[in-house]
Amino acid sequence: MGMKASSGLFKNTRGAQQYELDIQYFASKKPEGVYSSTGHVSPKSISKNRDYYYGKSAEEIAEDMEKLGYETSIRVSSRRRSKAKIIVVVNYDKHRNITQVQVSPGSKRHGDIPYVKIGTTQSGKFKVIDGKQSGYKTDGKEKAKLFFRRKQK
Amino acid sequence: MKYLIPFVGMGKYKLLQSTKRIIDLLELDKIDFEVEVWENEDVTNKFPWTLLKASNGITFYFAKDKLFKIVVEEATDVALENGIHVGMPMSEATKIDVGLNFDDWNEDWESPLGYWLEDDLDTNNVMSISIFIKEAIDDEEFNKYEW
Repeated sequence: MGMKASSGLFKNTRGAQQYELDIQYFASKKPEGVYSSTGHVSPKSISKNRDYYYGKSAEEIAEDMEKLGYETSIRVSSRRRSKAKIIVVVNYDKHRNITQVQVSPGSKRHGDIPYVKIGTTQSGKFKVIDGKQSGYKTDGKEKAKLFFRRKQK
Repeated sequence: MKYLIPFVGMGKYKLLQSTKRIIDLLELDKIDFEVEVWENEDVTNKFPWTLLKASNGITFYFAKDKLFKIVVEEATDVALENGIHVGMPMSEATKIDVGLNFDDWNEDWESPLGYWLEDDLDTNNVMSISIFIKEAIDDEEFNKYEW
């Protein structure tokens, strides 16, 4: 179990069992692949592990990020017409370099293809698109680096 | 022609009015609508939204039973006071409102006058116009739901 007996907690509480959380147990379950052990992402790690984002909800992504030390809150975008959710990072730095993540079910502007957009401190923006390039509408001026589904071999 | 007034509303349809008030107005105007509820269960501050999707291409967004955003997509008899309307070439809209600025993160055009435009990448025309309450400009402020 993730708990162990402790002494010193609730000293004056008669009959109460005393436990403290074994933080190491929870900290050991970290997501791998797209993030480094410090929570850093790079164009290479996102490109290589783009599958990580497909089908994931904002809640699932935020949960994984929190295992790596990110402090996040999830907001609904007041601006988008879709049900896009925004994961906002409050403690980003040069290691935990994600500032925001936008999880979009797709927008009419781009042809209703779901995507996840990742903003970083120094590496710019990345967009992992859950579809083929041929179905995605763009004006070619997007500043984000786009990653489409890989062609099946 | 009906005019969209930023931070105010559109004719009788005023921002911050209740869902019932807007439904009454739609029924009075004999406009059909569908109701959609977004539960927003996976966000930190959980407040469901209700959308009234009117058959004339206008969608009304509510939270806390208050109208916070009006989005016009197809209605041809609706425009901003400066004349910008859905279907107008974006190049014309940016001449009318020189303050329009493309927001790369949100992928839409924002005006300092208090509205957002979406452009259609197939036609290069205005695809939608949104007006909203002032708190919606800042997602953080908006998501506190203290309005």
